[in-house]
Amino acid sequence: MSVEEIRKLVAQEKDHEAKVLKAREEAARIIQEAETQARKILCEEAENDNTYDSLLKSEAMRLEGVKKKLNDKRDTEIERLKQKAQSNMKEAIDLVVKYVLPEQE
Amino acid sequence: MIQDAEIQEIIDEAKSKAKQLIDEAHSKAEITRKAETEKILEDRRETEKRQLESTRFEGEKKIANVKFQLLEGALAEASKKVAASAEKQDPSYKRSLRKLIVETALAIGGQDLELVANKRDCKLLKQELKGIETEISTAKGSSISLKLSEDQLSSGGGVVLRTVDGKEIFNNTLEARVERAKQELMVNMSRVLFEGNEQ
Repeated sequence: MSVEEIRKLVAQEKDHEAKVLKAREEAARIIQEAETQARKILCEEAENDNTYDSLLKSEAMRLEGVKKKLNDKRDTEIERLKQKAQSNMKEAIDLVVKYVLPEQE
Repeated sequence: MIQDAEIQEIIDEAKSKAKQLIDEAHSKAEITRKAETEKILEDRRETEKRQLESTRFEGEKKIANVKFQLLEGALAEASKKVAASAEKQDPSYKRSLRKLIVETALAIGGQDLELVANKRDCKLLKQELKGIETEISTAKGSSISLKLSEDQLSSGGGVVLRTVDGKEIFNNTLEARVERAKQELMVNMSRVLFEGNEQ
């Protein structure tokens, strides 16, 4: 192998080492960037109050809906009882009068 | 070419590692989100359970209050009707009064009995006293003595019947009977008032 060939090989080797070094630097940059992004993802999740606020609001609204249904049902029942009582009041009064005065007509 | 492949391998390996880091972060974030959501929903379910129980309880209480007021209203009306009948001294009141005295006399026992009534009913009972005494004696199968006390009640009607020795006494005034009706008839009244026409 001539001196010239040896020099050429050495130059090629140096060039390769430089490329490898550059590639490693690039790899380190890629990984560092990924680590930063991963931290960002986790931080965003930890501080993601909006999602939970909105979940809480929607649950509270749903609960209010259920409570309103229950109260409406109660009011309907009260109205039904009042109407029933109005229709049957005479019979109930007569029941008591008959008990107090057994010969009452 | 072999050298280029080595460089490419370094970059590919870094990209792969980067993808893995980001994928792991997403997975962790998803797990955190699910756990937090589940925790919030679980807290909400507990709150909801308590609030709905309270709403139901308040509703039942309100319905019970309305029922109670309606029943009280019926009782008040019945009391007025009874008082009006006593006031008028209509025939059914007279018959009722007589029946109550006989039933009470049979229930309390004793031979010497005394009636206490209000001023208005005293006048009525004076006329009926002998007849009532006979009716009680016949029903008992032994002779009894029935007299009208000089004491007078401030009651709206009805009588207090007692043995002359004061050992036994039974309050059959209208007020006492209405009160007993309240105790004894509430269930029945409730059925009549709120289910009356239902089959």
